[in-house]
Amino acid sequence: MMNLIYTYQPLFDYFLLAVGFAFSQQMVLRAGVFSIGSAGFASIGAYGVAILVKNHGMHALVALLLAALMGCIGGLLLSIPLARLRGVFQAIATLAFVQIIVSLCLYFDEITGGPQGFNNIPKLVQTWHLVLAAVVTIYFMIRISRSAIGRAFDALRQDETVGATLGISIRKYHMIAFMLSGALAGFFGGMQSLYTYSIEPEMFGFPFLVAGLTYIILGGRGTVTGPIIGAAIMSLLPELARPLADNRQFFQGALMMVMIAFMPHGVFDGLVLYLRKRRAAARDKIFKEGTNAVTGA
Amino acid sequence: MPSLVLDNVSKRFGGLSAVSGVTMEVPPGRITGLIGPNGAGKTTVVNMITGLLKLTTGTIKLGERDITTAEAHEVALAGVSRTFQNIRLLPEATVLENVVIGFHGHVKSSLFAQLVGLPSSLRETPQLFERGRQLLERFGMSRFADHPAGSLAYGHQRRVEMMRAVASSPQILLLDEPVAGMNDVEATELGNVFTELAASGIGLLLIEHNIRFVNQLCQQVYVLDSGALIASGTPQEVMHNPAVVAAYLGGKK
Repeated sequence: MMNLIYTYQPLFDYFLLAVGFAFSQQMVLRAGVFSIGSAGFASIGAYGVAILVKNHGMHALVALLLAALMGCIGGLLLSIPLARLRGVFQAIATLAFVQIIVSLCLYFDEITGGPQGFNNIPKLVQTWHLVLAAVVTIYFMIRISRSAIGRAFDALRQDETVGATLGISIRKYHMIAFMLSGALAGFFGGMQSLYTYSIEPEMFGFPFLVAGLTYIILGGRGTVTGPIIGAAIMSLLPELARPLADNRQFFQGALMMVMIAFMPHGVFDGLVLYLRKRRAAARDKIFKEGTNAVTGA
Repeated sequence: MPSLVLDNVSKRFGGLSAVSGVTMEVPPGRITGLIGPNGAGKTTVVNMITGLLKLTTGTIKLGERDITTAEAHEVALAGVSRTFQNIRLLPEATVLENVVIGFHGHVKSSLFAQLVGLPSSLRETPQLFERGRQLLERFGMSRFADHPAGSLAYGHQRRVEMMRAVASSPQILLLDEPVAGMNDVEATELGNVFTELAASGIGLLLIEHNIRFVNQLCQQVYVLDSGALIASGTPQEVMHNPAVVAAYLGGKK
């Protein structure tokens, strides 16, 4: 039993990190913002924590909170010039942001280590730290879901104009989404750098943001459980599909296409919508039978 | 409750003048009609009032407050609510959730309280849902509470939109063709709801094609044609105005 846990512990740790990044990606998508900037914020957090802890001997927790703050401020700043963009234009602009961060990390090699990466970071993050971080994040996500913030996000995603005519400030709530997403990405980026000994710029590049989107497409955009399921699938898939290891990329791509075509809401959100419809239909049937019995039809 | 007053409001799209020099008033406690043939600019007027379109000239005031340049959410928070000509519900959300989002302006707990889960915020959400349920009850829609709004029949979707607009406790309610596609029975039912809302002190602006429906409900009617007001007065006065007859039925030049 213990052997089994030891074997799969790295997988579990990777899953917990993925949950954090998945929520960061979900936050913006949920508010109807097609930002893929989480990778950039994760990079800022990761390098920030690595530098603060290794070079300046800062306490890990303080550094992580600062990383969240940096991500949050980064999100705020990025949201201002992007306020007028929507959809694919937001995606392109935030992709550019991610590329800028990657190149800055490559360019300032005296601080970041450049392409060789930033190495020998003390490993201060254990599995239980990651569990704690994931649980706290899930708590925040549930709170958001059940409060006016979440309802405002959901309204803006489904119909921005309707949201505005009901009193929801589009600019304000998009900004909040950017800030929360940035804070999460910054924090978990910092966790990652204290977990993996070394980081390098390309870790937070294009593959990273594709992974983030994948968690949400697989799991779901609108629920708290969705991203957890998405992250779990993506963490387990390489293990389950070990015989297919050579073609892993191919199967991941194919899986994505099948999902988008047949379950556009993701595994979990799709299930919730399906059950909700079925329950409504069942209740309707009872009601109709009831009225028919009364009217004698 | 304040009146909504439009003074010399115009809108030009490039060279095209969609609305020109419209002056009108929506007083509280009454149903004011705005009629006119297709393309007369009725919806443009509503979009300007609600801050979705910027005015080219003119001013719009809610009581003493100038809302000419206010953004859409500011207009909503000031107390102007609306429904849409083509129904616009949040399709993934349930009927109850669609109504509860209408309470957005009433949320009192701060963003921080909501995020951390302070008691003030934890209490608030169930209260809002309870108020939503009461509203569903009032409109006879309780049994649809948990249905996805997109799956309802057309007439019911209209009702949901109406409930959402009323949820914000507006001072002015703009109804953009609320009975389009309904039969007479359904329309009369909804007409009764409008009369009740007016009796509670809300000022209603009813944009409609259905002249008979307008005649039944409105004390004051404005007629718009090609972006300009061509007549105003009681329904009887307006119906006998030659310009109105010409606009609707065509007439001698």
